[in-house]
Amino acid sequence: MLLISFVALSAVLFCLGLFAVLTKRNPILRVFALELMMGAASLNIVSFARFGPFANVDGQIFTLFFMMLMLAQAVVGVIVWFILDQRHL
Amino acid sequence: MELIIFFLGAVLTIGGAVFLINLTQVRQMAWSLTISLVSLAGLFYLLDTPLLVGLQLFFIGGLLSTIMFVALRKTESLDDEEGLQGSHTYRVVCFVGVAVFLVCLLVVIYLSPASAAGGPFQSLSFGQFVHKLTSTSYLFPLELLLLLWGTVLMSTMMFAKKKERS
Repeated sequence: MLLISFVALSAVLFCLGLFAVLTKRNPILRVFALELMMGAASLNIVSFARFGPFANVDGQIFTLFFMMLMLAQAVVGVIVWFILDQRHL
Repeated sequence: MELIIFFLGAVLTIGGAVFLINLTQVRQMAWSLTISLVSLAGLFYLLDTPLLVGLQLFFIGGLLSTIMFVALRKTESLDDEEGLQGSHTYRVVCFVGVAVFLVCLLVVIYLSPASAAGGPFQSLSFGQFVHKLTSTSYLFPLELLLLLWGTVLMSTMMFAKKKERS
């Protein structure tokens, strides 16, 4: 496999997430789209760490922190959903 | 074979993202996001990073359980309003999802290069393995981050509870 295929895929995924963040009004959908964008960024980091000119494990370690961030963001998004739901009731 | 896995993962990832954008119901959007993230885990496996595959599945398990909890809550409220009987089905779906997640984790552990090639962890006992896994130089900040995240999670739950009382 080539590096460019992974980078192109992550670029497409990132653009889809960015489109959703910019065009949608639903806050939950925005949180989900941010998850997609962060997933695309982590795929990019890992592919560069695997195939790049300075291949090492730093990209994997950075992606570990990224995943923790994604999880915390998802929890905060669900709590925002709860608060909005309670306000609408 | 690698090319087939890559194209399958790419199609599923982008398809999940496209469905996520086009769908309107939150539950369906959550399933699309789950498909997209599972495919991303497959791409991580293609990049020879089994630890990230396990963590991605672990992350999806946490996210999926959270979303399932929300879906259960929503379904129960729908049951009260419209008289549907879907809450038991969603509990079964939760159980099956957790079981599938556990099987995926076990498969990832079994297929990891360290266990297949008789890596450095094979001759260690379970206690030594856990000690070696948790005391490396880069996992220690991650554990601190997990503690911080747990604190944030508990405080947000307490904050939400206080809001609910008022």
